[in-house]
Order: sequence, then C-alpha cells, then structure tokens
Amino acid sequence: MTLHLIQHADSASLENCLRHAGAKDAVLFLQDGIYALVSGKNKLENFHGQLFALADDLADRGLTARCPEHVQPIAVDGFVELTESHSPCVSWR
Amino acid sequence: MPELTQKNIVILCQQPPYGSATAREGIELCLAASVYLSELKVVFTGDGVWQLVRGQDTTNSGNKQHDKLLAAFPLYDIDLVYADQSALDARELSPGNLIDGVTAISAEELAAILANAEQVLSL
Amino acid sequence: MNYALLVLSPAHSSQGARSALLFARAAVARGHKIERVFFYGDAVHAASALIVAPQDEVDLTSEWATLVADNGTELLVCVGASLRRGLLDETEAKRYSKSQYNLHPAFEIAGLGQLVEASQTCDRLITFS
Repeated sequence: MTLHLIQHADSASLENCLRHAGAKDAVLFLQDGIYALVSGKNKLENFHGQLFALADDLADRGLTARCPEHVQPIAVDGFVELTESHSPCVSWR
Repeated sequence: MPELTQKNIVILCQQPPYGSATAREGIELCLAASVYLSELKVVFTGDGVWQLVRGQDTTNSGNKQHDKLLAAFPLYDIDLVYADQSALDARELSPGNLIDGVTAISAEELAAILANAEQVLSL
Repeated sequence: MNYALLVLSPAHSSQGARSALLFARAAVARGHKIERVFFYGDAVHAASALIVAPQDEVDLTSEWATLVADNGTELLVCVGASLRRGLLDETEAKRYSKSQYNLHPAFEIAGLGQLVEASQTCDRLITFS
C-alpha cells in the first residue's frame, strides 16, 4: 500500500500519479497539490483508492468548500498516520 | 554499511535536464547510492524521460552534458534503468531516440516496481 | 517508527520546507523519531545562519534548530549542493580559501551517502519537493 503525495499544481503530476496508483493505495494532496485536486477532480473518477487533502492547505487557499466529497480533509497528524499505515511514500512532481 | 539487510530502493527521476539542477542532482544521487547499495532501480517518468534523449550537444552552450553523466551508470554497476513507456509515448519518444541501456516499462510494471519498493527517493 | 525526510523544496520561496517541518513536529508528537532530515538542491538554503526573517514571518532556520535541540534530529545539508550555492561551514571555508562561512550551527554538511544510509536504516523516508 503506497502513499502518493501530490505537492504541485501541475496537472501532469496528478495524471502521472493516478496512472501508477492502485486501488489499495492512498493519495494525499498538500501544498499547491490542492490546486491540482480542485481543478482536476474529474480525473479522480476512475481511481478506487483512498483520497485525502491537508485541511490547512485547503483553508489557506480558500478552497475548503470545493474539496470533492470523496476526498477526506485531514490534519498534519493524519498525514503522519497515513505514513504509518502506508509504505513506500512516493512524491510526484 | 552492512548490505545483508538492504532495503529495496527506487530513485524516481521526474524533472527534465538543463532548465534546473534537479535532474543533475538526481543523477549524482544515483551514483552515490550505487556505491552503498548492491542493487538500485532508477526510473525515469514524466518530464524526467527528457534526460534520456540521445544526441544532446552542449558544445556551444558550455553546459555540462547531461547524458554523459548517465553514461557513467554502467561503470557504477547501475543496470536497472527504466523509462515509463506512457511518458515516452506522450512525448513522441521511441527507443531509437534514447541513449543505450534503458528498458521501457508499462504503467503496470512501473506500478509494481513502486509497490515493491521499501523506499522511494523522488526528484 | 524512525523517519528520514528528504527536503528538496527551496527554503524560503516554497511551502515544502515548512510542510516538512510541520510533518516532523506532528510525527514527534505521535511518538516517532525523526532521525535525519536531509536537505538537497535549493532546500539547502534553510541552513543559512544569515537569513533574516521579517518580524511577521516564521524563522524556518530557528524552528528547525528547535527540533534538533528537543529531539536529537540530525539536520544534514548535501555538501555538493551547498558548495554550489554558497553555503559553507568553517571547514569548507578553509578548504576552499573563502573568508566567510554561514552554516547555522544546528546543521551539518554531509555527503549523499548519509541520505542513502538513512534510506536503509529508517522505517520511512518522505520526500518534500
């Protein structure tokens, strides 16, 4: 079970991540990855793994309300928890 | 460092060369890692596959030629060098456009390499 | 668990470096050990002792230093990346006949081997880019 991190707004990095992520994996959006999440949410339709976004990074950007329903906002503590249960951790850019 | 308990390491190269130092520093990491590890997988994906283009020529620019760094891989016993086929396709790169010693892999094969890795260093 | 962090994000012009710090704190709070943070590429500027943070902004370098003091985390900057970017400790300054050095005392200059070693000895390695 891999944890995939999307830290950049670039939609290509999200597409690349989703191409290589499996149904047992988790994807976490943080930093400018929040923009990739909000503007690329239709790309997530065929992904069957778990989706998370850092709540503070959503709030900073004024996008809390636009976090898609099936994406769970989490605190940084939840980020650490994801790294406990998932390995390896892959950062896409 | 004892190699008996070696973890399965993948270095994921995602940035193109020349425009920033990241690609070069990624290759320097590969070379350093090979000194400590008996097995190392290096995977090029996304814009990172631009690093593999054959025919780079920096004679006029004076830049350090990126593919010459990659040419050192066999000397460092780095044999497991992979390129993401979908990234090659998206950029209209065919095997003939690439430097020697690179194996193209499918999205499924790349997913499996990542899933089997214990640590992934991504640049 | 034991963690290693690889930080690649430019220290004072991107969010990644601060994300890494917040992650490190949260991991410690959950009982984990952050063994080593390795700064590579433009991230090495986090180790400059000459950064002056505006009063209403977070001083990232001292916050990292606090993590070292409280948890024994090693903060390592890559020697090759640092020299190229003008970040030197006293030893390197002498070696290259430079009149000044600017590495914050909480950080150490190290080789890439130290990052590879951390990837082997730690349970988790997280890259912040």
